[in-house]
Amino acid sequence: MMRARAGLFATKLDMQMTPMIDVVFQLLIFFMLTYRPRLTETAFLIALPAPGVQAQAASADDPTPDPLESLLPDIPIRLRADGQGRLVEIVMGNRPLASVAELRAALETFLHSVEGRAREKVKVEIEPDASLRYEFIVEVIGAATAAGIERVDLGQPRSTEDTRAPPPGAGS
Amino acid sequence: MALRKLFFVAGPEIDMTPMIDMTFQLIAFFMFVMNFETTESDQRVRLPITDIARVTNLPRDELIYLNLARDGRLLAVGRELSLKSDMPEIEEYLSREARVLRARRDSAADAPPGLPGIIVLRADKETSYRDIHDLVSACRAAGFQRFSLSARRKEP
Repeated sequence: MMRARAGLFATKLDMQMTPMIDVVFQLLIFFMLTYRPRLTETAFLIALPAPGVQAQAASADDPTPDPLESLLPDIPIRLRADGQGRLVEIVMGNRPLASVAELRAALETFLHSVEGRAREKVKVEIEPDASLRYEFIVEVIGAATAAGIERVDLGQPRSTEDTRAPPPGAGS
Repeated sequence: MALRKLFFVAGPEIDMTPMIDMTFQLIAFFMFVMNFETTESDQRVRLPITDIARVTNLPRDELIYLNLARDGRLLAVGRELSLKSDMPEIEEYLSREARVLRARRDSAADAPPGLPGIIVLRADKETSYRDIHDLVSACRAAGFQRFSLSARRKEP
């Protein structure tokens, strides 16, 4: 008798799944909507000391001043912009260049002509027009880095009317 | 007949277990890939694209993030500051950060000379060079020497 009764009322204990599934789907939708794929950020590390201050190397391995530095002149790179801030002219020293790729090639050629340890001391000074967009400056810094030059300085912003030849010892 | 109906009315049951398993897997995935690191970076800044820049692993406690929008607004000091009109406030912020870093360096026994901070400049690709120069000059005047110019790789 007892056995039959137990069999009759031994119903399965049902858990209410609906609210849990509701919440779980809400969570899923929240995470899916807030999901942003991780974009890899890259960077150029440059050392820009204040005028008159000895540069602290970006790699921070040799803080002592080097006599080679005073012998090597900076390579001035003048960047001219059009009315929309687009790069229209690159002048390395007094030599006009057609593109950033050509600038990179010219810098590589120059660097090959420099001997041994002095190569690390070569520095470019970028002198852009005030209205030039940042993306072009990054492109030029990239060209210098790709050519093997780690030392970059950013000069005073120029007005478009400035003459091509940079003043001697120009810097910020 | 009625008794029979009462006991056998339950229809076919759908097995929910695989679906719940999968849903939890998906939730776990999205929770793990949720990117909390970009709290310092502002989505309004569209970084310049270059393939030459490298991924850097800089000491996080030395980084000072400066987000610069294309119209010359600085988006990093907890609110928006204009490079044109709020320069004294920006300079005050930078010198305050420099003081904190100097104090930390001085308290360390074998700290190298120079200010340890690194300015992470996240500037919009359309920002004019004048604004970049103004901000960099303010950082240099505060004593910062090391800069990390942020960029982004070309999307595959």
